[in-house]
Amino acid sequence: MKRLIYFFEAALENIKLNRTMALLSLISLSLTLMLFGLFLLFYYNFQGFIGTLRENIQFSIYINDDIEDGKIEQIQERLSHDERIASFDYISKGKALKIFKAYFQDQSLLKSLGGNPLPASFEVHVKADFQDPKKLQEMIRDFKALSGVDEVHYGSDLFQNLNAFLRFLRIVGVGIGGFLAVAVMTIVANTIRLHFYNRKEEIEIMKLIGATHRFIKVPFFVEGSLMGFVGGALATLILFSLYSFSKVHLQSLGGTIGHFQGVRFLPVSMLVGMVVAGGMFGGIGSLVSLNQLLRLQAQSDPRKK
Amino acid sequence: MIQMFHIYKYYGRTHPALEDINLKIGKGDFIFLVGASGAGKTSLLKLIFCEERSDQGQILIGGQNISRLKEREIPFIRRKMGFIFQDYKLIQRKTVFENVALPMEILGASRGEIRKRVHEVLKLVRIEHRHEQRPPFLSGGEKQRVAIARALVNRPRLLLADEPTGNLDDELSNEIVNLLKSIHTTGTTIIVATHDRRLLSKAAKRVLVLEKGKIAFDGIPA
Repeated sequence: MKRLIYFFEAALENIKLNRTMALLSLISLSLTLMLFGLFLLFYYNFQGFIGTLRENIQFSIYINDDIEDGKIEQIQERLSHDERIASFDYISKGKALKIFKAYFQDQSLLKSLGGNPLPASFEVHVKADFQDPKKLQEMIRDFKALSGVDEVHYGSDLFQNLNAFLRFLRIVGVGIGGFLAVAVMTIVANTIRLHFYNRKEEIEIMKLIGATHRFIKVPFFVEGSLMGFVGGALATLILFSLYSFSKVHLQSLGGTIGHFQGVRFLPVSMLVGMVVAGGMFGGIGSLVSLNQLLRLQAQSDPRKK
Repeated sequence: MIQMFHIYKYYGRTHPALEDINLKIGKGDFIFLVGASGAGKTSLLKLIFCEERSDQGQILIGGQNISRLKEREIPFIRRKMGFIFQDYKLIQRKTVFENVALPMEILGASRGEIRKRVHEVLKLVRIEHRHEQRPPFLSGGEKQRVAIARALVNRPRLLLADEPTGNLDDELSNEIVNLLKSIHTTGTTIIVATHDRRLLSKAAKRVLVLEKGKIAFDGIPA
């Protein structure tokens, strides 16, 4: 415990001694981590959007106009016993026309076609467990094979494309995360290197009076981790401020931009993760730098000559 | 306490800085290591302090062979010794108290222990009144006292001093020698490297004279 207090105090003293450099590094760290936070925010909301799409997955089973009597009831019976289906609605030709009229005020197109060209259909909602693209394809095949069914339609291409895009985002996220982690480690490593050089003489004296490498390294490690933690915390604060600011100001613009209202902020677990990752990468960065510096110093040791 | 067998130390390929040094220093001895500049005094101290490595020969300290120590073992050997450096080697931004406390911090002593012991040694070397001062504001004699206090704080069994009076006037030199003599009475083995032969008459202790890296005299001068 007394050692911990010493290391912590020594780390704070280091930061205080090199406060300008530490401040600049902290700003760089915060901005770097904030960039990652922005990406996370985008990914998190996009994932949420796909989740909402999944919840609303439905497809339409269009019925032939010349279907035999009793066949519609058979299809209805078949659907109600299918374990993959959460619910369904029957839209008769008449109802379909009503809906169409409600949507489109200009009915000249409909008049030009004559009569009611709209088919009857079943609007089917799929249970969450079966909302996988493969299972959906299987279902569509099954329903297409039913007698009296003309066409089964669902936005499979869009859904599959969105899923593929989400997978792509995940890979990009790992790439960006890795790149920014390296950036954080480099910033901390360079800061620690400068602090180490500033205290080179002191470190030499400490070694002469019996300090081990660990005793010399730990305060710098604590300093790097602290900078990472604080950088992470500042990044979340900046991100939240940006989010709140955008929410208030973009909402008033309306239109597509006004939809920002629906964007959710990152959950606490992700924010904590960001701060912890900042601290962790800060610590790793400082260790990498220190090991290198102490190795170099040992190589120039007169005992080795 | 210290045994040296056929020690050689070279800097470059020219004449050796130390040549075939054989030496025995007993527990509680007080030794003056004298010689002109470049005679090998500092090299000998540095070998004992593990700051440098001998090119040939063996050095035993308390039965432990330090000639082939691993890098990571050196700090633990140094903790058993106190070294008073010619240029003091004080940390400029730390106060007198903090400089003296550092070897105890390294050992992981508690705050209470540190406070008590540091004030004790500062009192012993008569610099307690300056404990909040930083080295740039101290005189040469005061700096030397702080360096001695730091070397003593962990109660070392062996105290090495490299030209401890080198930068001081006669009066201060006497004070430092008297201080070392009083430390010696506590049973500490002391080796003082100096080129100032006037000190010898003040101490009347065993003297080792080094000339061009060789021991030219070993005994108590008449």
